Order: sequence, then structure tokens, then C-alpha cells
Amino acid sequence: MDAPKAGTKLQEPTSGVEAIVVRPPSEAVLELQAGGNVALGKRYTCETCNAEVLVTKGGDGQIACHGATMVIAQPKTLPSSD
Amino acid sequence: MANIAMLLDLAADAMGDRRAVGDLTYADVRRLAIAAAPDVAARARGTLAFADANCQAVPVALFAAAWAGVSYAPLNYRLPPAQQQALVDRLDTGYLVETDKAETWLDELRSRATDEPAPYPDETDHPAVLLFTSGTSSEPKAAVLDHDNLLAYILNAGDFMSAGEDEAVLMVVPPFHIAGVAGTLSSIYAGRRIVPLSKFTPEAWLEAARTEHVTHAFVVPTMLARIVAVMEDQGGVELPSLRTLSYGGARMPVPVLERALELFPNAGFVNAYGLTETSSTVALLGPEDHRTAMAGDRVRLASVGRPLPGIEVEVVDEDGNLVAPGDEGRIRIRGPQVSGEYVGVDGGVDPDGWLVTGDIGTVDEEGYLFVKGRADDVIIAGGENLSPGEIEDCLLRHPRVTGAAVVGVPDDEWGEQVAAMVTISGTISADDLIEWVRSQLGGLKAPKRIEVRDELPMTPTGKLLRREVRAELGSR
Repeated sequence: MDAPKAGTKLQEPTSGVEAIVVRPPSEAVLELQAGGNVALGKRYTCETCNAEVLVTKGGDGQIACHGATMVIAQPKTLPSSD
Repeated sequence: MANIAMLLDLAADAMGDRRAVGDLTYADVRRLAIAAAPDVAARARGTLAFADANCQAVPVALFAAAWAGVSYAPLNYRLPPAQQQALVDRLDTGYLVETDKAETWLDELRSRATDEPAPYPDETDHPAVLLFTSGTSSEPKAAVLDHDNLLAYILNAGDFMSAGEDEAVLMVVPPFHIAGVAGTLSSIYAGRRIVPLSKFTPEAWLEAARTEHVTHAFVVPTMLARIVAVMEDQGGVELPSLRTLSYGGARMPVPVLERALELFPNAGFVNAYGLTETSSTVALLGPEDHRTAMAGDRVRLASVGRPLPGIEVEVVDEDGNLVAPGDEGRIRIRGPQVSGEYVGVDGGVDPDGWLVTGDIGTVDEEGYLFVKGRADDVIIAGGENLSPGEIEDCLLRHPRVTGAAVVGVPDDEWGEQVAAMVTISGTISADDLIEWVRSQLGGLKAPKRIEVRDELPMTPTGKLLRREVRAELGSR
């Protein structure tokens, strides 16, 4: 299995959680799992490979990559430019 | 890849009752876009064209196209009918929201909108947006922006729902400008209310900013010059709610920027450098950079700042090698938001993914980029390369000069010589202005001829039409 590309949609059927890949993982180890809780609109990042996903439907799920739960990404600090 | 419809879908799910644009909430915009989508999909032949001014229908049209899986093509509504028709013909679209008809179109959508959810297509056969470039040097070309390009920009540049409920952005660049498209998408993703202004005048801009408690705004340099002039005329005008004033789309004359920084002491200024072909901003000079430059030697007020994270911006020589700090070269850009594609034209990015722009620039020791102008605009006089921008800034520092356009015109002895077209307030002779430039920059850069006009030829998005200036000054 190939690692998911940027823009790939991920779904977890039991929790209904959905997310899209913003920055792809280094290998095919990123997955949504039941349990935990993720919030709509939050970005989560892999501390090993720096992959990033955006949660498009929140719920009782979690996102794992490289054997660990992905953590909420740091907020962006760029000023608005348009 | 994904679909930009996702951005509105997220906003409507998470903050459906918040006002998105004008009177419409995020839920309203989605409901109306979904109401339009089946008809758009059936009739559009791949493209929804939108030919009206800024109004609350703009995001509805943009997302109706996304939900229908067709391209959104905003057109210059100020073109004469025959020229507008020529663009419509080139696009071969079957769905046009006509000039002055957007509100009627919205009313019609309202009459059949329901709360029935409808999914958007994850994959589409058509690019997200087709945008005609400003055509300062040639016929306008339709730039192609894919869903991936636009999403890469939006997801990289900001955070979802990062705006407070009190934030509002004044949208005055027309819908057919890349900053209009990108600003609509980024405001919706951030949850920042859009205040559309259909026609720019400095008075209308100041009035809307004040009454709508606008916190954010983007202007092109010609707009800022006119806003500054009115504020200096009237005196005592303040916009206490304005937090961020961003500008871009053309080179900002430093004298105008300095006056604006003094008039808006509490606003953070952002210079955004980007192209239609790069889905908007690729480099920016932020508020702190402006403050530091203003307090120091001010050289960096002429900079467009540093690249966004994940974007590469380089200045290279003719062989593609990086130039030394301070040396001029061609600006090239690489990153997921870069398209570089045009309808019906070969090209785009090079095999390594670089978009080689037509812009000449330099980079300083700390990586700050300076855009010197279009390569085509460089004046070569007696073997010396002269940048029109430096001479224009010099003219604009004269208290009587309100606008300046400097070009090279053919000259038998020098190859080219410097000529200028200016707008002024009060009276001043051309000879006095030539002497002014000579005293500041020396004889080589002093125009040999200066003509005074009531206005300078501009595109509707505030870019100087140099080919017209050149044609007029070179023909006599």
C-alpha cells in the first residue's frame, strides 16, 4: 500500500470521523481509529514524520501515525495577507 | 484531490449561524450553492462564468461551481459588452451570471433552496478556477487553478475558524482578481465576515471600513494612494478597528507606504507578493518587519518579505544559478500552490517544478525579497539597466506629483531613454520635475521627457498599463 497523498480523504466508520491529508506521511502508516476524540477543523500532526491531517468531521475517533496518536498542531502565526 | 467545497462545508458545519458575507450566514451560502448546483452542472459545459461586481453572491457562485464540479470563471464586468462576450465565447460556458444580475440570481436561488444536504464531488473533471490574467503586456490568458493548488494555499496560510466573531474583512478587489478569489476562500475558512464593496472610491472605502467595524482589508497600491490622499485632505480620519491592512497586486511606491504607515499607526501592515498563477501569496512582509523598517533605515519597506513556509522563492541568473545577495536576477517559485498552467497554452512549470516568473528581483543577506519590476520593463540606456520603480518613487517624493509611470522609449543614440507620464496636483513644469530627478538620482536616470496627464492608464485591478504609456510616449 502506498502512503496517502495530500488531499486523500480518510474515514472511520464506527465513529463517523473524517479527515483529509494535508501533508503526507513518510510511509503508509497513517490511519484513523475508533476511541479518543478529535475536533472538527483541527489539524493533527505526527511527531515522527511531521505528517498533518485536518479533521473534517469530528467525533470519538483518533488519528495514529508511526505507532503513536497524532497531536494537535501548533496554530499558524502568519498574518492574513488577502 | 479534494474539492474547495470542503472549506465552506466545514464552516457551515462548525459555525453555520455566523455571518459569512453581507446578510448571509455560512449555512445560507451553502444552502444557496447547493440550490444552484444541479442547474449549473446540467448547463455550464464545464464553466460557471460570473460577470458581476463584489456582492454577497460571489461566494455563492464560487461554491455553486465547486458543488457542481465545474470551474468558476469570474470575468471583468467593466469590459465593453463585445469584449466580455469574447471572453464568454473563449470559455464556451453555458452558465453566465450577468453583470448587474447577481442579486436577481440569488433571489431566484432563495425561492428554491431547501435544507436538504447534498454532497460535493470529491473528484472533478474541471479545475476549480479559471482566471484571466491582467494582460498588462499582452492579450489576457486564462490561468488554471486546480482544487489542489487553492487548497494547498488555504490550508498552509491559515487556520480553520481562527477569526474572532468580531472580525470583518473589507473586500474591494474585484472578484476577477486572484486576491478576490483567495480572499473569499481564506475568509470563509477563517470564519471572518466578508464586507463586499462593489465599487472603489476612497470615500466609500473609508465609510464602509468605519460603519462595518472592519478589522482586515486588502488593497492594491493605487487604492492605498487614493485613500491616503483623501485622509490627508480631510484630516482627523481614524479607523480604530482596523488591525491588518494588506496590500499587493503591483509594486507599492515607498512614499505612499510611508504616509500610510503614519496615518494608520495601530494597523499591522502586510505586503503580499504573489501571482495569479501561484494561487495568491507566496511571500510576505509582516507587521513587525514594517515597524522595524520604519524605525530603522527603511530599506526593507521596499521588500515583499520572505517566502511562506513550504514555498520556495529564488532569484537566479540566466543559467538557473542562485545570484549573490543584492544581485539582480529572475524570480522563480516552487510549491504545491503553484500552477503556472493556462488554457490552451503549453508551458506551466519547468521539469523541476519551478514557475519562472517575468519578475526581476534581488534577495538580501537575510532572505528578504525585493521585486524590481517586470523583466520587460527594464530600461536599457547606454548599456545601463535602469529600474522604472526607483525613478517613479523619486518622482512621487515630489510634493506635487500624485502618480508616475516611467518607461523606456527608443533612442538612436542611447538605445533607450527614460520618459515619464505623471499626474500632479497644482502646477509644476516638466523641466522642474526633470531637474528634481536629476538632483536626486543623477543625469542618467533623469527622464528626458515628462508629460502631464489627468490620469495614468491602469487595468481595472490597479496595474499600470506600461505598454500604453510606452506607445504614447514613444510615438512622438
